[in-house]
Amino acid sequence: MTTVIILALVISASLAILLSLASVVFHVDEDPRLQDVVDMLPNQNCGLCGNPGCRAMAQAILNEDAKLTQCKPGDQAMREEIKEYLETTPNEEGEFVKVKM
Amino acid sequence: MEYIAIAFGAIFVNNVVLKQFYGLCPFLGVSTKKSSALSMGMAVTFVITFSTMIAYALYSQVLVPNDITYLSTITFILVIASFVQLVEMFIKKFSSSIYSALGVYLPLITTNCAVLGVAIDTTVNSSKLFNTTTPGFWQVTVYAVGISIGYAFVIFLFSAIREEMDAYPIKRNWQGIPIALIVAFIMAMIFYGFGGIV
Repeated sequence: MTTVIILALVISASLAILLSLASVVFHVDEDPRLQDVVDMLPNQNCGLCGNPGCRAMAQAILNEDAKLTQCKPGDQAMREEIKEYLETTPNEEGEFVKVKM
Repeated sequence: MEYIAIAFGAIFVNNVVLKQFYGLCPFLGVSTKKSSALSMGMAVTFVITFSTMIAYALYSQVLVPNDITYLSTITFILVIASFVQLVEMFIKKFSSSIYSALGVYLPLITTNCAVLGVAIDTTVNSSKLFNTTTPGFWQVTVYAVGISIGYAFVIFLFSAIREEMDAYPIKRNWQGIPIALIVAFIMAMIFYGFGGIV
């Protein structure tokens, strides 16, 4: 039993260290609003909106390519939350995204 | 000579897609363009090779001596998932066009059964594959490289055929996935013939 616990701890800790180092080395600057919009979407990755996954949908919303109603699992509360967030949060150049419902 | 036999067997005879039927989802999903098929093949090659090497080392050095081989699946999945994350970060950093072309299929390498299949075949089920029950490290590495080259080769070939097929008139109800599945079936028959060589 102790061997199993030690083994699990050692393997997961070493892989976690490897990944955290990699995330520093391979860091990519992206729009900080992207992650916030991803968190507000349902995150079922169903693809009903026509984008491969919720992250791509969030990117499409930020590019003004997608309507919020394309997200089928999302309800009215989600749409209003995202709309309000994007209307109050500009990007680094101070530009706002025009949200399409 | 032994290594050549293992590599040939892994690439052609026991081809991971057309003989063992592993990893069919990205085989059909990412094979519409040659460039994305090639980068998918390279990503899978990296993940299969390194995760199999580490999985083999963990299995033979840690799991077997401590008699906890029942943990092999969860250990392998941990290693595979970490390598997929690594590849994803690497591709995102150095080529965002490949990153967007592969899309959701890139994180889905984690669930690609070819990767876990090779890791399990070379460790837990190794007696079916190699003549000895305990294959050496380099035998396993050559096998993993061969399997992944076979995967990359087949997915590239399939995407080249699918690109060429766009130029020909195909009945509307056969376009897309149906005709692709028939092409895969014919390719599998051709690869079945390699079994007679060994």
